Amino acid sequence: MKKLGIVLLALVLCLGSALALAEYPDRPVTMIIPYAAGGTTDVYGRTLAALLEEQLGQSITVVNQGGASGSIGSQYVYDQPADGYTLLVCAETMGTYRTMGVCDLGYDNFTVISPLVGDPKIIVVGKDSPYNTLEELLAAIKEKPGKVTMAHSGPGGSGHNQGLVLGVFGYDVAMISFDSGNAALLGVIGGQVDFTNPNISTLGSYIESGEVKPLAVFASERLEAYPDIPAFTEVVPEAEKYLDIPYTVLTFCVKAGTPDDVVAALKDATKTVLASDTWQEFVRKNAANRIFEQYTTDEEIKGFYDHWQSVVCWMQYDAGVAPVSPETYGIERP
Amino acid sequence: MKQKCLHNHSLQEGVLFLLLGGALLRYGLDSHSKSFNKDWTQSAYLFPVIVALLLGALAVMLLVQGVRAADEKQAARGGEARRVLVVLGMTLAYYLALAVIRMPYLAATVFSLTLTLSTFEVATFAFLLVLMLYLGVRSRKVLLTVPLATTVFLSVMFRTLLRVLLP
Amino acid sequence: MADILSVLSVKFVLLVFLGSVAGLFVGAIPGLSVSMATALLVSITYTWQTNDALAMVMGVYVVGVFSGAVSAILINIPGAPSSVVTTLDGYPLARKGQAYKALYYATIYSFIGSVFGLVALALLAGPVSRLAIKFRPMDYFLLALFGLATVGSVTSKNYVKGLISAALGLIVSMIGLDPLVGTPRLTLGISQLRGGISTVPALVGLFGFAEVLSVIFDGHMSQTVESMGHERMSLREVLRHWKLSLYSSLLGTLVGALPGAGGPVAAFLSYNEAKRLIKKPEVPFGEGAVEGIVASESSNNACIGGALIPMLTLAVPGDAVTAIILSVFYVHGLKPGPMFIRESASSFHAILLASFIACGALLVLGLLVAPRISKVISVPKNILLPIVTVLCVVGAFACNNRLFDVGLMFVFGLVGFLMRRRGYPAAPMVLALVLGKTMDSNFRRAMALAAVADNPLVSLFGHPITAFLLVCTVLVVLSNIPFFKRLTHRKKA
Repeated sequence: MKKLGIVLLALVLCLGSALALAEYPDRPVTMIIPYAAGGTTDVYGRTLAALLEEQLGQSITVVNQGGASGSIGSQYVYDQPADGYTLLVCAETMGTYRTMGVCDLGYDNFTVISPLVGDPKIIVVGKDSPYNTLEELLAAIKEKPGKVTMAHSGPGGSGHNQGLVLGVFGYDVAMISFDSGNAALLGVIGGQVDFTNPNISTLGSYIESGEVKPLAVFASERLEAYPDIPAFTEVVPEAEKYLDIPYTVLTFCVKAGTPDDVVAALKDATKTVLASDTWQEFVRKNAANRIFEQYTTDEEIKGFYDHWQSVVCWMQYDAGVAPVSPETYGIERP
Repeated sequence: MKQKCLHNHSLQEGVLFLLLGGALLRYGLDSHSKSFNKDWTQSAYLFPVIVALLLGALAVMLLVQGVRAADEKQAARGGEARRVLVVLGMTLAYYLALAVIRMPYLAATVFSLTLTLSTFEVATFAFLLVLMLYLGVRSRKVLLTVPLATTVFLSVMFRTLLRVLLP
Repeated sequence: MADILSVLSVKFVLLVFLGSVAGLFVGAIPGLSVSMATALLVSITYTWQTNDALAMVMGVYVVGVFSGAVSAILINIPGAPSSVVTTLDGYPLARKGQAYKALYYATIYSFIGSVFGLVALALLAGPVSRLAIKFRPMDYFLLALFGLATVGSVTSKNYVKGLISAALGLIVSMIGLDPLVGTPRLTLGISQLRGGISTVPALVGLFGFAEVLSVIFDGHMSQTVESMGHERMSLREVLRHWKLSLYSSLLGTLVGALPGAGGPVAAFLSYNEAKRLIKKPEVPFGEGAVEGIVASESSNNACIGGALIPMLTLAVPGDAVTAIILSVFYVHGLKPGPMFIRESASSFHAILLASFIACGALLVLGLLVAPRISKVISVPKNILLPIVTVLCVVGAFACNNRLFDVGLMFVFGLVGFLMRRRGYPAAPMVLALVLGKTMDSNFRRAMALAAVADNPLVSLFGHPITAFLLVCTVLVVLSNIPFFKRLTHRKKA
C-alpha cells in the first residue's frame, strides 16, 4: 500500500513537472507589427512570421497596430504578460521614443531575439535635377544654406536622422517632412523637393526607369547590388563615425522578463529561419543589410543597440529635434 | 425675450461652439508658446489655431441665424429620452462586462469549426436577450434563437475565420 | 490578348468568386471592413502562388467596395466611409418600401463604375500617374478643402451646420501624434489617444449606434415598412442615367488616383455634381433620388481602378485597401513601380483579369442577393437593433483589437445622436476625420516649401492645378452663402 502511494506520488510529481515544462509554444502566438500593413516592417515581419510558424509548430497571428511612430503597438506588447505569446517586430524608432518624448519605452524594455535587417539608404535627385554628383549637391547646399530642400519620411525616422548627419558636417538643408518614405520620393520625382534619401526597398525600380538619379549610398561602403553608386564617405570621409551603423533597423523582440527557456526556444527557431533559403533569398532580393548575421551573441547585440541609441539620440538632441536630453535616461555621449 | 433666447437652439449651439473654438485657440496658442519650435509654419499647433478660428466664425454665423430666427417658434420633437438612457446603461454594462470579466476559454471543435465559450459569448448572449426583452420582443422562440444564432455566428466568424482576438 | 488569357484557369475564376462572396459579407456587415479582410488575406495567401493570391484579393476588394452600399441602403449604416453618400438617398428610398430598387441601381452602377475605372487602369495608367505626380502639397490640401466645402452643402439644408460638423471632425482628426513633428496633440493625457482616432469606431458610432439610439428615441419599435414594392424594372429604364454615371466614374477614377483622397471625396464630389447638373429629378435629392445612388456608387467603385494606378506605377497606395494589397505584392517578391507594368506584365494581367471577373461576380451576386436581402428592412426594429448594436461593438473592437475603441464608438454614437436631434449631419464629420491628417500635413508642407522658396506666393499658388482647385473651392463656398445665392437667383429671374 505504501509502495503504491509512493509510486502515485512520483507519478503526480512527474506529471507536474511535465506540465511546468510544457514545451513553448503550446497555443497560438500573436505577432504585433506596430506599423500599418504594407510598410517595410510589415513585409519583413510577415515573412518572418510565416517561416517561424513552421519552426514553432504553432500558428502565428500577425496583427498590425499602427500609429504614433510605432509606439502604440510596442506599448501593447509591453502591457501583455512576458510569456512569449506576444511577439514584436519593431523599427529603429524604438531607440528614440524616450528622447523624442513619444513614450517611456526603449530597447531596455524588450529582450531582443535577433536583429533582422537594415535597409540601406540612397541619396537621390529627380531626373531633371541640375545636380549630377554628390559633390555638386553638397556644393549647392554650402552655397545656399537652408535653401536646398530635402524630403524625409517623418520626424525622428531614419530619413530625418540622415539629414541631421548632414547638419553635423555643416550642410544646412531645409527638411520637409512627408508621410512616408515613398511619399517623400514622389515629392522629388514630382520636382517639388530637391533631394531625398529613400530606403532601397522602397526605391524599387525608379533607378532603372531613370526617374531619379542616385548620387550616393548613405553608408561607408558601396552596395553589392549597385556597385556604380559611390559611398557617402568617399566624398565626405569625416562622416565615417556616423555611418558605421544602419539607419533603418528592424528588430525582433519580446517583452523583457520573458522566461529564459522561452527566449532560448525563440532564438533557436529564429536562427533556423534566418539561415533558411527563403529568408536569404528574400533579403538578397531586397538588397538589405544583413545585420542578423553581424550581431549574433548577446554581447554583440547589446553593444550594437547601445551604440546606436547613443549616436542617434545625441545627434537628435544636439540638433534641437529631440526635446528630452539623452542624459535623463543614462545614454552616454558617443 | 430672455426666455426665448434660452430656448433658441441656434443660440445655445452658437455659444457652445464659440466656447469650444475659444478653448481650442487658447490650447493652440498656449502649447505653441511652450514648445521648443518657434516657427509657426512648422508648428504642430498651426492647424488647430486655424480650425479654431474657423469654428469661431461659424459659431458667430450660427448666432446671427439664431437672432434672426428668435421669434420663430421651435417645436422640439418629443421622444423617449428615458428609453435611450436605459439602453445606454445596458450597453455600458455590456462594455464593462467585456472589459472586466475574465473567463476561461472553453473550446470545442465541431466539423473543423471551433466553438468557443468565453466572456464575449456569454456577455453577448445576455446583452441581446435583455435588450430584446426591453424593446418588447415577447416571443420565446425569437428570444432564444436570435441571440444564440448571432453569438455563434460572430464567434465562429471572428475567432476562427478572421482570427480576431475577441475579449 | 493571348498572354492576358494565359493566366485564366478554372481555379483562378473560382478564387475570384470565393473572394467576391467574402467581400460581399465583409463589406455589408457594419464594422467589418474590406481593409481588415485583405490584411487577413495577406497571411492566409502567403504560401499561395502570386496569381492565386491576387485573384482572391481583387475579388474581396471589388465586391467589398460595392457591398458597403447594402448596409447603407438597408439600415442607414454605411459599410465604409465611401458608402456614406449612398445613405443620403438609398435609405430614404428603402424606407418607402423600394429597397429592392435602390439595391438594383447600386448593383448596376457599381458594376459600370468598376468597369470604367479598370478600363482606365488598363489603358491610361501611364498618363494618369504622371498627372498624379504633378499634384503638390497645396493641391492635396485644396482638394480636401473642396471636398469638405461641398459635403457641407449636400448633406444639410443649413450650410453653417454642415461646416460646423466638418470643423468638429477636423478637431477630432487632430487628436494623437502630429504627423510632421511627432508631438502629441489634444490627447488629454490619455495614452490610448496618442495613436489618434481610427475611422472605424467613429463611422460605426456616428452612423450605427446613433441610428439605434435615434430609433429608440422615436419609439416606433414595431413600425414596418408600408409596402414592399417589387416593381419590375426594365434595364432600359435603369440605364437612363448612363451619362451621369460616366461623368461620376470619370471623377471617381481621377480622385481615386490621387493618394489620400479616395472614395469618400469622389462620392461627395460626384453627388454634388449630380445635384448641380440635374435640376429636376423625379424625387428630390435626399428623399430617395436614384440619381444620388447612381453618382455615389459609380464614383466610389471607379475609385478601385483609379487607386490601383498609383499603387502599381508609383508604389503609392491610393487608400487603405491598396496599402495592404501593396504588402501582398512585396510579400510575393513583386516590386510595383514605374517598370512594373512592363516587367511584371503577367501579374498586371492577372490583376486586370481578376478585377474584371470580380465585376462580373459583383453583377451576379448583386442581382441574386438584392431581392432576398432587401427583406432585412422588414425585420422588426426591436430584433434588428440589438443585433446592430452588437455588430457595432464587435466592429469597433476588431479594427485595432482594443476595447478602448469600443468606448470611443459609444461616445461617437451619443454625439451622433445629439447631432441628429439638432439637425447637424454626421457625414461631414466622417469625411473631415478621414481627411484631417492629410490636410494638416500637406498644408504645413506647402508652407515649409514656400518658406524657403524665392517667391513664397508663387510657390503656394502659382501652379495651374492649384489655381483651378482654389477657384473651385471659392465658388462652392460663395454659392452657398445666402447673400450670393440671392444674387444669382435674381439674375436668373
